[in-house]
Amino acid sequence: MQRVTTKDLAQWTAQIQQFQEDAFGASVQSPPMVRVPAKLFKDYGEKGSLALLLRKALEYKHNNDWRRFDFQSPTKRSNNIALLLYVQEALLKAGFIKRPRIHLHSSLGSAEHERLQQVCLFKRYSFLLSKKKNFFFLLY
Amino acid sequence: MSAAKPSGGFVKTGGVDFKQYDSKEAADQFEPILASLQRNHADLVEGDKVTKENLEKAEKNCWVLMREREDLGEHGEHRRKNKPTGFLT
Repeated sequence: MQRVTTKDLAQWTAQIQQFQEDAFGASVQSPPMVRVPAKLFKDYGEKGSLALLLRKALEYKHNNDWRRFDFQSPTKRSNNIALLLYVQEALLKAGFIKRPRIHLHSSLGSAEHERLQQVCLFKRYSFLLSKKKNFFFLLY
Repeated sequence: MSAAKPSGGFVKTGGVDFKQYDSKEAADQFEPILASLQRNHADLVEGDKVTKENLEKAEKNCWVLMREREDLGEHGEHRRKNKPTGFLT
């Protein structure tokens, strides 16, 4: 393993952003996850979101004995998606990403309720269904 | 009249501007992050040091490589035996 430099960190940041744009971007049909918000890539503080993101990415690389990051190769796509899921979990736990809570109103029919529930939970979309009153969105 | 800004939702950004990360100034912004990683997670960012364990690991890997070469040699022998006549001049 070579010593990591600030240039490496800058390059990985750009590559991770480009990878998530390619893999989960607006033009991708049924993406496996939602992108990490762009604002989290601009927080350069040592306890900021970018620091946590890069640390978790390096941790994942280290734990899986990767020699280097490779966000270009199509054969590494599923590995890189797993890496980003790992990073996203950490960002969620640390409170940098917040899942908006949605409440489905009782006026919705059971079929519609079921359908919307599936949409909200589909492939880790960043929504949680709340039965409490402190929701962000109310669907009628 | 200026174009209206998107009000929210997912916006297609059309990719990352790599140039903004490819300068000394851009790299310098990562100094606090790297310093923090070096202080608290040195195993993730420091290069491998020459230690007894690393040398033993390298020797073991070397032995594995030699075995792989031997296997390839046997495989190569097998291929040579089955080569069509007149393949090599």
